[in-house]
Amino acid sequence: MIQEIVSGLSMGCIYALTGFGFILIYNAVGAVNFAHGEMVMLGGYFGYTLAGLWGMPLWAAIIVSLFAMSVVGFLFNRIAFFPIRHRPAVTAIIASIGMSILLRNSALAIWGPDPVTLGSFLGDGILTISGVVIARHQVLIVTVSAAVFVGQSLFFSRTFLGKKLQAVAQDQEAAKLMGIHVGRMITVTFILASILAGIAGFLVAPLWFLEPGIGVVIILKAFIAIVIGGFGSTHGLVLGGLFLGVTEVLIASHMTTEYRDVISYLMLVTVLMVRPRGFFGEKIGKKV
Amino acid sequence: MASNKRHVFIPTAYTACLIGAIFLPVAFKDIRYTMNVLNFSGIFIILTYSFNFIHGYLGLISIGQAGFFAIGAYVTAGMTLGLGMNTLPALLIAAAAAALVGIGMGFPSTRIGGHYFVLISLAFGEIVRLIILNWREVTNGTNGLSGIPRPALGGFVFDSRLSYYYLILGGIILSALTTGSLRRSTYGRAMLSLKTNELAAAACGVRPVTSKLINFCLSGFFAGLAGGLYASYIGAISPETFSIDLSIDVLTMCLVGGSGTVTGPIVGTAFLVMLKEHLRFLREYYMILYGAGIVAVMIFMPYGIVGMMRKLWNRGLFRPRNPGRDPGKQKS
Amino acid sequence: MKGTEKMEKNVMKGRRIVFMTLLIMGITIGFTGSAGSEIRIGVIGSQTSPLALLGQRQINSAILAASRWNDRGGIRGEKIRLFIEDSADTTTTAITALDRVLAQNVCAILGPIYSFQLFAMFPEIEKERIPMLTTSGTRNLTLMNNPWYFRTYPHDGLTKQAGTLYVLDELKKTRPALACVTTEYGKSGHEIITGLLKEREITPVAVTWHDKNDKDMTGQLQQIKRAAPDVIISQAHPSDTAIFLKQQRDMGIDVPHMASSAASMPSVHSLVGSAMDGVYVETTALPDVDPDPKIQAWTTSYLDRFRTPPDSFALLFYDTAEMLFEAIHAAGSDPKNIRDYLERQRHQGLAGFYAFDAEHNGAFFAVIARYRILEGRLVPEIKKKYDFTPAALRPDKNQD
Repeated sequence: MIQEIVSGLSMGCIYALTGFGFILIYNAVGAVNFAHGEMVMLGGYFGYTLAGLWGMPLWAAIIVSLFAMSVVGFLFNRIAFFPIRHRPAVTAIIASIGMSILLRNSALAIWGPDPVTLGSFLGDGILTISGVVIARHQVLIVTVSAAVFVGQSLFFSRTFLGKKLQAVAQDQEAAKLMGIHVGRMITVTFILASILAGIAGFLVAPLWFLEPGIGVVIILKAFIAIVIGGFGSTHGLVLGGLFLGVTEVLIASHMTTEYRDVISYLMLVTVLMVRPRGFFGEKIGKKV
Repeated sequence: MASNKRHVFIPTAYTACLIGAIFLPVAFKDIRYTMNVLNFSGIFIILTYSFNFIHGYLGLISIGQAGFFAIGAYVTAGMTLGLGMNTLPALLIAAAAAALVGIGMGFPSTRIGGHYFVLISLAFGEIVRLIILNWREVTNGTNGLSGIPRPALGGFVFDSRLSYYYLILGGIILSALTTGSLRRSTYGRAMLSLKTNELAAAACGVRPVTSKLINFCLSGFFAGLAGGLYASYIGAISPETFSIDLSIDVLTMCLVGGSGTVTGPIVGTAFLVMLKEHLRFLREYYMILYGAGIVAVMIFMPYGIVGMMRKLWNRGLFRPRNPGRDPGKQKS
Repeated sequence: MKGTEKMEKNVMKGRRIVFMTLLIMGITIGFTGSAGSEIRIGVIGSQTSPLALLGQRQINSAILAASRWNDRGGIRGEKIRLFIEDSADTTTTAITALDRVLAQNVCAILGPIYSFQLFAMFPEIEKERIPMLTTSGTRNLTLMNNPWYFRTYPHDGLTKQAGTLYVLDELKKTRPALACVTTEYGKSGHEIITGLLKEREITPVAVTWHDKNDKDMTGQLQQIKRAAPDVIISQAHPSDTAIFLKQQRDMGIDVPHMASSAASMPSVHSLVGSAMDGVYVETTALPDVDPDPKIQAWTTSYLDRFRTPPDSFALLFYDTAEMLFEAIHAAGSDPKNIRDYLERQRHQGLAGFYAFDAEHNGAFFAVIARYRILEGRLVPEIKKKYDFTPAALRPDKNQD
């Protein structure tokens, strides 16, 4: 039981971390970015290329990767969101679907269909604490996730930039009136989200292995976590992610495992129907 | 003024196309590959119409159409293989079953909207696929079901690709007519007002719930019909076909053609299917272009090909210059 | 007013007709075949989509075989021309690929692995009367009585038999746990293995399922751990096999693991790393490590040409192509003659001996290998070769 929970927690952290960049973009521009899973994938692939193929040490690889990811984020915004920022949200959603297909197949063309892996910063080892097995990498995941969430909480509430970003997320018009350059803030948000995706990529790759189709898997799980926790809320995201991670493993361990994903999806649908705003999210009732 | 003219020549143009469509395959009935592409396009056109009901008329994005498609296919297979039913009635039952499920999907949409609905549709499509995949006793899992018979009417069996073409054409005409008449009716106009501003429309007495349910019912019906036609055409089905990728393809085809229009689904599907076959040599690079194309369409042609043509028409681009009339004054 | 209205009507109509014509022309351009003095062979495989993992390697094998024959002057002086089409990962794409190939008037087809695609292609193959050979393991394919389909790969029943027999007879285990993927591959494997175990009156102590895309097997492994098995038999695809092996090692479940053929793929080895030590693999061939010098030479030339290591499917596909070319050499390029010849053919390929039984199963061999890590290198050792070739099909001289 404890073993399942421990594993589930680290999985949950991954879900939450990948969902986090996604939520940033959603809060800022009001649009769902279907390509976020591919961003995480790219982060991982950059790491694989730099560290795995070109032999860079991991710490150097991650610095370069995160830099590359910021560029990708900047371009992504320019190409797929900026031109349609005034159109209805559905346009942006569909454009992000297009980007997802584009990125996924570019990865297939560049790196091939074979799954590849990336080394972990803490190495391959495992720890055993009173019979429970914990991979070192899992410890890394939990620590980094915690650091990221604490960091972002401080960033948004204490720093000037963070507050500007929040203002844009809450009300673009008002922010503009306050003299905040909305366009620039959105670009910053995208860059931030991409960097987070890059970090997530480095954490995911050693565990899940990278292959071009992995973005879809990632984004689906992140969605479920976000919905359970509540769209737009970071606390909700963490709890949603952890909940999903642990539940999945428990179900696989004790119940019929063939239909495990069906159960996850049904959970998603139930939450959406019964309590659409999740545990902490915004109110989205649409009745008059 | 502009609409008057459209009312006059559009029916003529449609009739011309219809005649063209009826005689088209006679030239190619011996080219197996072309007939196949035409038939597949036709089936997907019907499927795209089903998406049109949800997105074009309700403004909701659904990436779960593959689920209805699958229900149509498997119910048809089950009725014919399992119960020995004739394919034609089986098709109708399958479409009806999918329509019922569609209504079921319609309920959540009445309470939530936008991106939440996308997720529900996604979950729906995946749940259907996973059940098909794992419920081996009924669906035979990945081995799939094969030997699904072709429809028979009286003594005539729709055995050849040519005959099936006409069956599919019938389906397309049915979906086009339904889409068109729904739009033109007063009921339909009220329904479209929901898309622009739901709260205001509701305040004016439009009933959002009924409208949504009707559209979902129709969407399910046509997607299920397409699924049944697909199953009977290929004769063998398996869960791989009914993936998210198919749902996304449907979405793309409708948007490229022009969502919310009557001819959009035909134009969009035909265009994309042709494009895919022609760009086969690019292999995976094709998919890269495909993704880029979706982004481009959203940026430059958000109302699809038909929408763009309509805009150009309204700007007077296809008309001879008339002194005394200012072409720039038209509204889109 | 009337005049201009009519003119606009006609203009619009005219444009639509032009559009339709272009549409039609677009579809039909370039899809008519022509006969010539060459041997036309269709090759259908997954060049795109996740299935390209196996498909691309197979296609490479066909290219290699054809180019070798052509270097020697072709078949009876006529060059081999391959028509390669992408079947991707759905039935729709498989059928359009088939259509395109058939439009080229090929005399035989080397087809894709996947049974769900093949089932959809069968009616057309039968109607057109063109022989198709594939390296597929799904048992059902040869139970469909399609006289034009030939399977040049040991079917599931045989490979699983090898794996299970080895576990029971050589390793002498009595409490197996089964870990299967929910695809057809996993399910049919599950069915066969449990059937074989039942014959020995053994029931698995645990049976777990996972999705092909699953990234975490903790739950499944916990279930297995609780059941205290003495061996784990898995039936899974490359990614999930890799994750399974790795996590099993991490969780300290220290029992032998008999993995399915995915575990023989080099890409899986690089993912699994040190957890590969001691793993048993049931497969049909191990081109990268087989001591046979002919196989080694082949692997080297494959690597040189395509820069990617071949797997067992690639090797058997190569043998298939060779077998087909030999048949054409002996019987000519009429599809019916090819088929008749194939039915009687005896072929010693690189991976083993091929001959078709009444159901058109053509290969009956399997290999059990064990991987060890010696001095930092992964070294497989062929533990046992099984040959289930029916006596009636064996050649007169000794074979493997």
